Amino acid sequence: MRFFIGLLFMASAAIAQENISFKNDREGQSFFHHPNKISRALRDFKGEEIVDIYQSSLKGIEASKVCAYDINKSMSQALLRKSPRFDAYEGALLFLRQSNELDDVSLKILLDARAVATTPIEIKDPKQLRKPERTKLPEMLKVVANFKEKFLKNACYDDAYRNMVAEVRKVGEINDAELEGLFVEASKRKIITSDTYNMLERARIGEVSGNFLTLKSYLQKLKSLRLHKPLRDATERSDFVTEKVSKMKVSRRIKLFEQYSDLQIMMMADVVKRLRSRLEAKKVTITIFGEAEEIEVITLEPMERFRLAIKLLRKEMSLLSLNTYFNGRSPDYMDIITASYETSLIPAVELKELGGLQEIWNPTKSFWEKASVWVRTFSSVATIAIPPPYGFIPALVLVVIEATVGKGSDTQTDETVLF
Amino acid sequence: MKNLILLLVGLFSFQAFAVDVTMEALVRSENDQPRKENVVLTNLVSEDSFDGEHFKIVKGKSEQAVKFSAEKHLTFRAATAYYHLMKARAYFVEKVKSDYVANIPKMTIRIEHTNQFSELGHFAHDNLEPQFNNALTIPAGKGFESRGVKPWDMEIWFRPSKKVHISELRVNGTAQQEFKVLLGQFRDQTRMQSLNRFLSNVIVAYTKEQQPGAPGPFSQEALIRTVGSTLIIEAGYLLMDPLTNVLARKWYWLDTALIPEIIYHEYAHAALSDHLVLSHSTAIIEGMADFFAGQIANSPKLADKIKKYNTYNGKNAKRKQEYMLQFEMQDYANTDFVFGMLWEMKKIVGDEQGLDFMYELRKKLTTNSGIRNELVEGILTTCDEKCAMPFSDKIRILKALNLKGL
Repeated sequence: MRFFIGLLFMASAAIAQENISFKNDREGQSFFHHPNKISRALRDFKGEEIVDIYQSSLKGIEASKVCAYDINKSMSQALLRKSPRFDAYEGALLFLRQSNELDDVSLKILLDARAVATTPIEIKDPKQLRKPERTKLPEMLKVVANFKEKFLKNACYDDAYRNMVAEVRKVGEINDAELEGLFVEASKRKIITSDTYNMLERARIGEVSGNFLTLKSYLQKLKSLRLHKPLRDATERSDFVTEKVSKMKVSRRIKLFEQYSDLQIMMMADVVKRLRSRLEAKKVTITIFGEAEEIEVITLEPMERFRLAIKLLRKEMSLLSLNTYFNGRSPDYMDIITASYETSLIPAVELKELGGLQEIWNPTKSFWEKASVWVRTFSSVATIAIPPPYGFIPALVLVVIEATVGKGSDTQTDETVLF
Repeated sequence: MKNLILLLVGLFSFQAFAVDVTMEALVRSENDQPRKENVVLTNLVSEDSFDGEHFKIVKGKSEQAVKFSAEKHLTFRAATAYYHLMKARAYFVEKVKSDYVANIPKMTIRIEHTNQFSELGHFAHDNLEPQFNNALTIPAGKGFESRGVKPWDMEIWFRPSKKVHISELRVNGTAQQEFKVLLGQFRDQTRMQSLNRFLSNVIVAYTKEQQPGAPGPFSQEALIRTVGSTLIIEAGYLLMDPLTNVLARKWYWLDTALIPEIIYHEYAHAALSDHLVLSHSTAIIEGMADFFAGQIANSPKLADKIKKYNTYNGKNAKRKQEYMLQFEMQDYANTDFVFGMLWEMKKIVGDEQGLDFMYELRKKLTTNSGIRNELVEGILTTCDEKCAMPFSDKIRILKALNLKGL
């Protein structure tokens, strides 16, 4: 009887262990495009072998304990066992992305983890090292000493490091240089082993404390989103969400998951849902009420309806920052669009056009428009500096600039439209 | 049996009258230049006159088709009108697949016709302000039997050309006004510039030691330079209008029966008349006709490069212009704003669906439709029905219209 109960318990536990998957179900062309690296990896292994090794590394892992560093370690070891000279691990990961076993978000997490784990450590001159405040140092060293036993025991390496640094910061303010000094000091005093020192130093160099998106948190966000906003078409793919974000080294979708929680993503998507219904509206009226009755109904023209929808969109985007879940942060328009696609509110084919609406309030300036600012400035000076009759040439240039670049319809000042 | 023989003879004789004749007409070359060319006039039912299955070309108020043996200038115009009208009709029937056009009864086409149109009497009195340099499509009329005015079907009237002095024309010179505004800005700029230079020279003269020999701000040389250049600019500004009058074209004329795009435009009015009634000229009705004229001519430019018969500037669908409220007024019905707008809409919707889209759009409009309201609404509603991706295409349309100042 006890045997059967035990068996039942084990079986239910096994069932309760979900199959972890980071398969791509939204992205089109990968943000990480390195065909050479993939070719190198495929020299030593067939594609199916890499996929098998990857899937094996996921087996038996609970969703709450999935760690990028552990997966990397497990995969890497399996690959090296089969091919001891294999040195294209990154290519193997990229191949998994190409086969849609991974998406760009999970790929980036794994690649970053790999980069951290393989960071070379420089041995610095002790005189160049800065240490934390003397009075706080012993307490901080105690925290560092417990890294393996307290923090790493039941958590992923990056989570453990982050938690440890947070504990250190509770003791006192510490910057990155002082953190370096702290780890060196801990190693010097043999409070931590050289192996632990290497782990901590690599995490510090890799700025792990600033990376809040782990495989675990990503999986949790994904599951929540898929539960509350199931995909309408799981085969749909979009290149729009894998385009690079300006001035950042990530794609739109990666940025979305790195910077927003699942709840924030759903709230952002709702803004687009309302925008869409307003854009599709066949009639919009403004009703003016008197004491007890309706005095007047004004029907908006089609373009007024359109501009009203844009104005309301911008208003709602700004108002998001007042929401407690956003904590004063106002997401930008592209994040909102990406969120709407992630939650299946907008199909992939509509993304580009919806994204292009931003041009209305934030138009891209052409080279000539940007240059005209400088030409205007120098021409103004030149009109005085250059004697007549040649001084009229810059004056003419100024007038031409105003006539051509200065033009543009401005419905804000057009009195014949409400919006 | 006798009836069968009679029927066969009748059919055979009808077939014998479907003749093709080669005549000289004005056509467009590959690079849109006008040239005289021998063309085949098809579907004629007469062997000696411009009387066809779908069009009869007459002179003025006559009901008799122009004979092939008539004077050259008349047959040239008749052949050109007939040739291009057949081309326009074929476009609507075969490409647009319009049943309405396929069933339009035979139209009388009047060339060299100067009478004004009368809704009751068909033709206004001969002496009542004869019309030139124009063309129009008139709706069918019931006539006035008691006064001997027979009913008539839809017709197209081409006026003769007549040289008109520029001073007699009422021109909506928006381009000229813009240039004058620019010149005014330049004048203001140079005045400010002269003042700034004078003031900076005064400040420099009183704060720094003058170089020996260097002219001061109040010296004769400086004053001559400043005043002289100002006077030149002023003279240019004030003389601009008289100079323009001297150098500009003084005479205008328009031989509508010889301009292919005008012929297409007028036929388009007829083709769209199931929904766009031919009551009066409005921006919508003219714009829609321009659009189809451009499609038939396969060119965004209408009545261009044809100086011998036309000194009117023509219309250009690709002209960059923004919406002005004045375009809603009848006085501005013949600007090319709507033409350009519809041309751009077709590009957005795509060539494949574009033609069908534009033809379907007419059902959403009336002759009195406005641009900003009914036309835009019509475009959006038509897109719901005809666009491949309605939501995305409507966004593109709305963005484009927003940029045009609508």
